[in-house]
Amino acid sequence: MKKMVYLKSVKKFAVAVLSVAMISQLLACAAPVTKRPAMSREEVAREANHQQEILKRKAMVPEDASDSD
Amino acid sequence: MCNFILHLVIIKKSQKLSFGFLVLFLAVVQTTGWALPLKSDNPRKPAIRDQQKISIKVAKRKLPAIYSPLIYAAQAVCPKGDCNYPLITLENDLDINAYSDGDKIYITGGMLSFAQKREELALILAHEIAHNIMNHITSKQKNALFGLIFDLAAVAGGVDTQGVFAQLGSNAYTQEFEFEADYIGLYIMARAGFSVNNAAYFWRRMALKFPDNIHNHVMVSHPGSSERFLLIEKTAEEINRKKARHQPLVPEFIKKN
Repeated sequence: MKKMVYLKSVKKFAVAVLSVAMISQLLACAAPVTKRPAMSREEVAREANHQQEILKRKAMVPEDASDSD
Repeated sequence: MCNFILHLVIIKKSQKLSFGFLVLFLAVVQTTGWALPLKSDNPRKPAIRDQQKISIKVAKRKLPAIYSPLIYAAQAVCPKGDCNYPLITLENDLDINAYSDGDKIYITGGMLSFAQKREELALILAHEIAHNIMNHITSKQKNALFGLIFDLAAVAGGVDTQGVFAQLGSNAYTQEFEFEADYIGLYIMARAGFSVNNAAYFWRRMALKFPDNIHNHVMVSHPGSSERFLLIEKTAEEINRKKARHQPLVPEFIKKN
């Protein structure tokens, strides 16, 4: 009886290990593989503010003015 | 190539049949490469103005001279050795859009009239070529399939998830894939002989057109224009550094241990 319980828990553990292995393998397959340049939050925030500024300035000029920054 | 490992967990007798169908379904998907339908957003918009018609025609005439060098340059970073993807122009579609399906590249009339310079068109096309080269469509399908397994398992257990996990799966890494396509695309552009120095400014123009996309949103498939501008700027710096040091213009890949 004890042996059966022991075997069942071993089986559960093996299934859990296999599941984790399968999940990690699947996720690893679908992830990007390039080492791109890093961006800090501050840099992103600064650029977003800059784009908002361009947008504000654009709103102040007439419609037929140039699109260029 | 990633192989799906399927193994039996502990299944009740009544669930064996549905699990059998799941295994059969997955086997069919794996062997035939059948594509899961991913959401496409191309609502048609009416009335092309004359001026726009002209700008679309002009841009379309420029396309072969831009696309051919890009495709030639892409062969160098193409793992399969044949990345000669046909380019399809959708002149009557006025959405500002371009996309790829793994085999072909599509560009809309809206994008043709929006992109002002050769470099901008090259940036867009190289980005889509990069999506195909890096098999991003297949990766998204795999992620969706991964979620679908959970959905089907939940259904077998009596819980209707209404495809939430498949949707979550298909959204996994989508922004990362966009960044990767921008990164690889800029290398393709540089290799094809286009200047990459002002390429990022395309995203400032996009910010003017779509102000809601300046900031990044978590549950959106594409990154914000501010992040895309920055990544392209930094990639251009990386490319220029390599050019100055006479290093080969190849993207950096994560080293596997």
